[in-house]
Amino acid sequence: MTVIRSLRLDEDVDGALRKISEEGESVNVIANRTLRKFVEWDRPAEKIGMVQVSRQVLVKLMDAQNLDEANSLGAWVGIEVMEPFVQYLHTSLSLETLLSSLELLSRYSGRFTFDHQVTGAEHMIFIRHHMGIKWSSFYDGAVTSVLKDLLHIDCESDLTDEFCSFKFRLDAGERSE
Amino acid sequence: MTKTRTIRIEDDLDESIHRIALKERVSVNFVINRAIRKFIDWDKSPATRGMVSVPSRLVTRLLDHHKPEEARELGKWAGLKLFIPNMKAQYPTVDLEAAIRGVSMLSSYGGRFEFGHTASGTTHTIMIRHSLGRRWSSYYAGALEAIFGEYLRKNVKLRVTESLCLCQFVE
Repeated sequence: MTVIRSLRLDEDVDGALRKISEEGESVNVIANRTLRKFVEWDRPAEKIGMVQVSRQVLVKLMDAQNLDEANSLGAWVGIEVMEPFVQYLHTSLSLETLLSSLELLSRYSGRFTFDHQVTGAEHMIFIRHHMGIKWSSFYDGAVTSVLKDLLHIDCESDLTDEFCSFKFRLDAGERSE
Repeated sequence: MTKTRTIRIEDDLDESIHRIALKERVSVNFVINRAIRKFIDWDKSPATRGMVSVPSRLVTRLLDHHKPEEARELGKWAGLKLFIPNMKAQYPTVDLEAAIRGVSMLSSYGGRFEFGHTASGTTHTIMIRHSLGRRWSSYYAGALEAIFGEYLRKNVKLRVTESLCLCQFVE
């Protein structure tokens, strides 16, 4: 369902929108996508203290850590940042809300892409990024700490330079609180 | 000046925008203009190429691992190797005005710092205020030195505190 809204747009904003729409999408499609990002990401990200940093600067910053330190930093972020982030977005932390938050981060943060696959009782989480093995170790720490320490789900992780996967089993009816 | 435009908005989105407008005590029109302006100025800008979102607390911890002089060097590197090339992708010439506009834009949408610029006669003062700790002040000092000192050939004077970086130069 849609509603029709008449807007007064600043002239330069309207002009820029029209120019972007010449690349092939309608102003309507661009406006809806932009507004959805604003509502789903820009505002909550600002509220919870997300900032914008160059990816290359982040790679250099993480390079000063060894793999264990990167992993510990990830574990710290999992507990101290990720959990409150999920609670802010969804009120409570569960596997479902964690996965939904990772999906949101994947869609809007620009840091990684995320996928979750389920085959029977076996779950696989995939995080793909282009920031090197130290960042893989960081994501390993972050995701493992939330799964193991907060959701009490044992998982196995596998890391490469730009890829992390997490495998765990949830039997039928088993819920993560 | 404004232009009137009619768009179809998905209804859940329309409700969310109404809630935001109500909470912030501004008009729906104002919220929509702000969102679209951000998309144009920031999301679509070549000057923000390679920017990603990270928690500010992580950013503080990451730089804490570095000595102040390393933080300053990293800032210099980011100023010359990232900021200037990104600005060149946006503007035909990276002059003083474009550089100030670029830093101001990073402040408006990057969420990392507040930016102030004053000019008294030919003396310019640029201020970056943040809450990420002294290492980040050193980082910003390095970045401003690179942009205004090395690239734009100004004789910059820098002052750094826990939450502030001041850069002064004569045009």
